[in-house]
Amino acid sequence: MYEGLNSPSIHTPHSLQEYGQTAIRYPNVQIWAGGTNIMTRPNAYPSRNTDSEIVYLNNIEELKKVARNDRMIEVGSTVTLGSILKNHGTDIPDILRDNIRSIGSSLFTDRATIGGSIAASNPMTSLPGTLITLGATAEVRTVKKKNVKSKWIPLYLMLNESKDGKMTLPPRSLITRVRISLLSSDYSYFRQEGSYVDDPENTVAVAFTASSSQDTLINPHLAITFPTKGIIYSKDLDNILMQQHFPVSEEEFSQLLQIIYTFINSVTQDITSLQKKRLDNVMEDMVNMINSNVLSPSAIDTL
Amino acid sequence: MRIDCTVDGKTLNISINSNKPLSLILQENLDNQSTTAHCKGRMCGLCAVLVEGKAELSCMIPAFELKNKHITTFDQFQKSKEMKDIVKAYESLGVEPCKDCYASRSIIFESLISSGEKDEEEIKRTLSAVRCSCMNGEDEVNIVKKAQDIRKKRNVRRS
Repeated sequence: MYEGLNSPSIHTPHSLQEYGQTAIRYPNVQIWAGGTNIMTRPNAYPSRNTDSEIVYLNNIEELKKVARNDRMIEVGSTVTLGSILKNHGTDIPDILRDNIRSIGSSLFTDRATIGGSIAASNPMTSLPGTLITLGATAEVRTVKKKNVKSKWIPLYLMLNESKDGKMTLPPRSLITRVRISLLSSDYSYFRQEGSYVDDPENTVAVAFTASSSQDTLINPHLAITFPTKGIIYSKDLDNILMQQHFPVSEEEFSQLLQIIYTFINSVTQDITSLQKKRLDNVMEDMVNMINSNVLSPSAIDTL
Repeated sequence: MRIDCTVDGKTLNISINSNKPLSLILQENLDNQSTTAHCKGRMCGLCAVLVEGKAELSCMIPAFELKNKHITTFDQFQKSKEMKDIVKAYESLGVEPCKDCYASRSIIFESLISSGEKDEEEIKRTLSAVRCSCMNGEDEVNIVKKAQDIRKKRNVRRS
């Protein structure tokens, strides 16, 4: 049944230095940590397109470390989402916790790694969008000729490189650590409508963070994820949100929504009518949250 | 690739493609009848096995990760005392999974029972891996709690 299929060679480095040597020696090696992104592909096995070399990262202790201080948490790239939730659930921002819970069963999140969730070319989860709104950065190690270079890159830059809503790493790169800010903001919002597993074509997830000053937002970040289609995030959209005065009227909300759809259409024009309806509802809910906070007695006192 | 592992108490040394999923290895190489599903990544949740006592979906585990691991499938697990605790919980509450998801759901129940999981949301979230709709979340929580009680009493009697 599987005649002619090759059996990939497995490399199991025990340190980042060993990984670097393997990556230099085998330019087209496939990186494997949790494997969720690979094993859930319909053609994962049997497949004649399988890479002949796999580098398995789970024996590298450096990639499993988690460190935190008052300002940020630094997570090794092979730390699983389940482990982040279980061991650091009270430390991480609410929207990150809500996002991981929304992904699905712990049978999945106990395998899926934070690095894999970011590096997957097709968004398997809404996590990259949420991490972008939290201002997360990732340490990326890239093989260049015979050397391995390391650089911290804000996640939103990985998205903007591609312009198609997909996270893109430089060729022959590996995410080794992810830094997530723990500084609190006045508004943090995450909501997912639909299921990535059951119905990705009709699912939408929205992540938002901002601080506030009277009736305006400071440093707003809005990311909208459409599974299989892409992540919508733009600094221009954040700037438009920053110029908006709250509470917004129905008419202003409609105009804001139109602007958001302009950004969405520049990335993908494939969103379904159900996704559109769900996004309208989620955005209305989010704006209502901001409106009611601005209109609350304590906010009015300060106006 | 040659891999040493233990499946249902039998020590095996098998020659296998390194990236073949465990679900297919069980069906095609080991003639194991308990995981008949291979949904090709659609996450049906019907192929759960215990790896070192913890439930995992066998379609997500490539062969190279099996090295020196102890795997228990429902074929072996259904004969155990632990499964009897779960069956007693099914009988006591008058609910049980349908025949399609019976094996996989029972394996996940066992993982939650043995880890002492009490958090209702976590129990429901874990069992959401099984996409069969024959059982609701409240029943799942009740089964886990009931079986944990039954096991506790059994362990007290034994000691």
